[in-house]
Amino acid sequence: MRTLGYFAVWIALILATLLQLVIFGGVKASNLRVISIMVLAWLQASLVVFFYQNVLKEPKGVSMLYLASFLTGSGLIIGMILSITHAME
Amino acid sequence: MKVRIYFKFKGRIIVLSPITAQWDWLFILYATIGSIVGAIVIGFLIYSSIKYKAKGEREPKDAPSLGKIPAERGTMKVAFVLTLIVAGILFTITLGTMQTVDLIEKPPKGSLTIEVHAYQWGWKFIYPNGKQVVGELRVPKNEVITFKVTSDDVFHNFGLIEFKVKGDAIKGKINTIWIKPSQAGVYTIQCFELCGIGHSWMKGKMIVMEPEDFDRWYAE
Amino acid sequence: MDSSLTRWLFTTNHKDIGILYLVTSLYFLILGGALAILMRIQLMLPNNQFLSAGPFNQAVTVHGLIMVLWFLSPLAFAFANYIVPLQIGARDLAFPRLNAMSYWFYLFGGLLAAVGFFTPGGAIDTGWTVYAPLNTLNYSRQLGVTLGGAGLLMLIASVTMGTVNFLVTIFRLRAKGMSLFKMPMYSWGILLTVFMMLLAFPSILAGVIMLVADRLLGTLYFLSNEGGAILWDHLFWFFGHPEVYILLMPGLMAIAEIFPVFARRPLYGKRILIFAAIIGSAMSFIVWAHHMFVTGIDPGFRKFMTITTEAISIPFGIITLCLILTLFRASIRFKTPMLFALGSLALFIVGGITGVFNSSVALDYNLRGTYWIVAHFHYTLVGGATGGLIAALYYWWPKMTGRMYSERLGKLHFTIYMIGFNLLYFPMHLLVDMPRRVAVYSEEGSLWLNNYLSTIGSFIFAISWIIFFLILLKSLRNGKRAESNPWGSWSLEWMVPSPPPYHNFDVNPEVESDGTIKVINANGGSVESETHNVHLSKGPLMVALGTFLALLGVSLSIFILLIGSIIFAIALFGWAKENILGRFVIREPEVGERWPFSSICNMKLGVWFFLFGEVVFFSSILGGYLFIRANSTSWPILGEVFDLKLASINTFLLITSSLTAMMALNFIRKGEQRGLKLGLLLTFALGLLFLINKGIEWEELFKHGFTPSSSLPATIFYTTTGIHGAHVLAGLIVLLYLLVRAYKGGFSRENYDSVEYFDMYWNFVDVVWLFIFPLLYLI
Repeated sequence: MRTLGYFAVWIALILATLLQLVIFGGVKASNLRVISIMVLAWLQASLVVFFYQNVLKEPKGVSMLYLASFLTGSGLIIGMILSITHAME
Repeated sequence: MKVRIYFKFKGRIIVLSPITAQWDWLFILYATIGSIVGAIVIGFLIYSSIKYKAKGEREPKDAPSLGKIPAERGTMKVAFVLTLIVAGILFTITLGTMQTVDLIEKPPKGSLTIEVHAYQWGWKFIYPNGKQVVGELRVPKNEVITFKVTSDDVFHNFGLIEFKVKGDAIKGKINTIWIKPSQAGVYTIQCFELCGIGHSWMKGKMIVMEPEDFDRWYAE
Repeated sequence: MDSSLTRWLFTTNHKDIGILYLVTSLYFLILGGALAILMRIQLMLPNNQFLSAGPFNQAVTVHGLIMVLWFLSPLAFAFANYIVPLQIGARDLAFPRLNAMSYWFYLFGGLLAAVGFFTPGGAIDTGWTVYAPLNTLNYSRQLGVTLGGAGLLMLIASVTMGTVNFLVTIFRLRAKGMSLFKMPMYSWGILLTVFMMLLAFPSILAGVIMLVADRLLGTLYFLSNEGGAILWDHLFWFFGHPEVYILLMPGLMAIAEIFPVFARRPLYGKRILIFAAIIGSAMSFIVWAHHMFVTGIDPGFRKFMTITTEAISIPFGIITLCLILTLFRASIRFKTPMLFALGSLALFIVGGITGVFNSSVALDYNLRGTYWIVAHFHYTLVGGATGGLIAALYYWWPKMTGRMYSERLGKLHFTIYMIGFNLLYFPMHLLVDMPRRVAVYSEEGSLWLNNYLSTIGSFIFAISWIIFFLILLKSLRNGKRAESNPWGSWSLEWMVPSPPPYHNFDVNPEVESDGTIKVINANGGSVESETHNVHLSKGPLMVALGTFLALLGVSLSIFILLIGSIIFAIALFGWAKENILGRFVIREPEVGERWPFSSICNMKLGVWFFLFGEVVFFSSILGGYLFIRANSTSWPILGEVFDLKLASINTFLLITSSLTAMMALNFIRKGEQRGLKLGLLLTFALGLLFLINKGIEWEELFKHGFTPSSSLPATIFYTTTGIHGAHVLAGLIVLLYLLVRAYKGGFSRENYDSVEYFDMYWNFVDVVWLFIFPLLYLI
């Protein structure tokens, strides 16, 4: 049962990457292309985190801290981008 | 906001530039509230230390004893009151900050704009008409002067000590500061960010001139 | 007691390591203090000629780095090592060898940074903030800066190991009934400190790696306008501001530990204080840009950071007030620890109030870069943090050495300390017109008087430290024997003899529901006492030595690099052998308080914590990329410029290797050895192919002139994929160890934990690639 699940995730990961490549080759550079490629990347990452790393089967503290570290990292990135002044001279 | 605090200059009370007055006002606001709070808190600390000095060996009822987790005391209500007091004080001074920031960061219109290039180790100034000077800046009195500060190499900081403004000089970035000098005279320009061996001597002069003298010099 | 050299070099006992930390941090205090005195002598008079600008800048820089990173935090960790396991009722830290390694990395890192003094051009001289682009090769050619960076890398490695170790220890090794809220305050302080360390240090690690890459490989992070000064500012201060609270928290919590004992009343509002400290620690991650107010960052962002910075005073204000309220209606005994605790709280209040000034963008326009700032942070970090830890030192000295110190001399120390401190730092508040880090100032103006007073103060302050060291030496020579509980404290460390026996407790302590702590004293118990030899390991010292030489070699010569790498490899091999032979199997006590991590074993929790740090690390690396890209006017999409084939193949390889790794785990769960071996072998092969393919790709790109120093996209491409590749390589090394174990039959249906830890790591590396691939190639 577990083996089947692992294979299913693997197929989903491969398909997502293929889809990324198809979108990349088929759509002209645009915000839509960037967004759809990144959404797929997020999807892939969550598949690995939830089904390979099995984070939900760990104590709640682990998933909470995973989230906290992720928020910390995102906070830094968002702060860096926001700090770029928009009133360019 | 009305100007209430004045800059003492050669024995006379004058306002050197709108920002200096506003800055002084804000600093004194912070210093007054800070000193009062500090005095009360540290005073209470010292007062309790003296008042509650141990007399003899007698112990309070809930004194810590070995191998026993001390009892909890203090209530959430107290925490709430404390938070409100601290937050109230901070709110007042934050309002003052926001007002002052707007003044510092929004240069008035119709100004003389001078490019400031910091380099290891000196200052280069470029006027709108292309005139360039090094180390010694000349500006007219009673006029708004805007500085576009940047660096040609490492991180410097363009500091006008008497005018209480500074701007970081960063390569590839332009930071704006402004002054409106009310007194002719010679003022200090100094670098306020460690920029290498020459940091200590990275100084310049700003000469504030009567407008007609400046115009003559500027046209040369 | 065995006091041979072998004991100190190879020890893994938490108390021994605590003493090593104490001695080393005090050594660095003397070094940093001596540099400070040199600076003060130079600044005593205007136009002084005592030190020229070069040595002065080196003194300023090394003083800052040493005091912040090699003195203050390590002093806190001396007590953390010695006291925290005792306080929570543990026999040792969760990972004793890792703890020893953490110490050796700290020591060798410090030596690496200080070695710079003996190289041409001298030590690192860029200020402790190492601002870009002064830190690049273009403006600072000397080796000292590279060595400083290498020293920082070792220190960060040390901190990471320590962090994971303490988190697991405090969460998992508490005595039965010792709930988190029942823990003594110092243990709370360390818990919050290591949390902040875990999430703050990765960003400086990213920054230092970029800097070292710039200096050694010619990448362009900090020379470019798009990255440059502001990029460094972000990465540095995202670490640097939490770091301030990392330094402060142990001292503050030591005060909270000491006040109730000498005031003879329980701490006022322990829960309130703990909540405030948690909120303050969390908030320390959203205030960093107040160090960048004048750099021209976005005004809205600045206002946000002004408000968060002023708001962070609320929790710390509450902590301060709770501490003071503890004294109300108390019965205070003025022993030396209490005097230092009171004094340092008062000084911290002053520093805290001047800190509120600095949180104002408007005031910052004038205060930035002046001695006002120097005054502020010395009041908080010397007055508050160091003073609190000195109080802690007097408090725990009898416990650690078994000797009392002279109370009379302690009070003398305190008096001279306070006079010297205030004379040294108070006048600096008045030097608002004087820039920091200038070696020389002119006679004009009124700068000389305050500088003169400050220097006189520094001499008095120095005398107080000499008295301090004399007190310690005198106590060691002929101090009175200390009882087990000289101060009338309540917590567990005072329930064992001074100094405690090697294994701390004969029987695991317990806390009963009414708050009574039960412990059967050593000597009274029946468990045979363990000796030092059981837990000696050469591994930690040798790994650290190997790393030290390798990093020294990278900066100096290939030959040293080679020796270092060989030592490193041999040490790792020995370490793995110790594991396979089953030495250092750490018994986890059957019962204990482990909320919220009760259903997970120590090692696994440790791996998780490590991965959380890695999340922030890769966020910082990718954040640097996104920041540079957002600042650039145009950016080539690599997938459109170059062939995508190799990169896509790599994505498939890595995804598949995650599957094979999971299959290996799945097989061994069922006890199938062949499946395990096959799975591990396949994972290894796929990982290796990934690296080989990467090599081919790099070579291809090099041929197109796409080299690390050719452009910003290339800089980011090579650094990011390189760091990821290094993670793959590290995974392969671990995998090699697992393979050896698997072929020796080291795994079974019951015992497959290491495979699981490896899978967690490997999947994480996979996740990182799943982001790198689209971010670098496709968008």
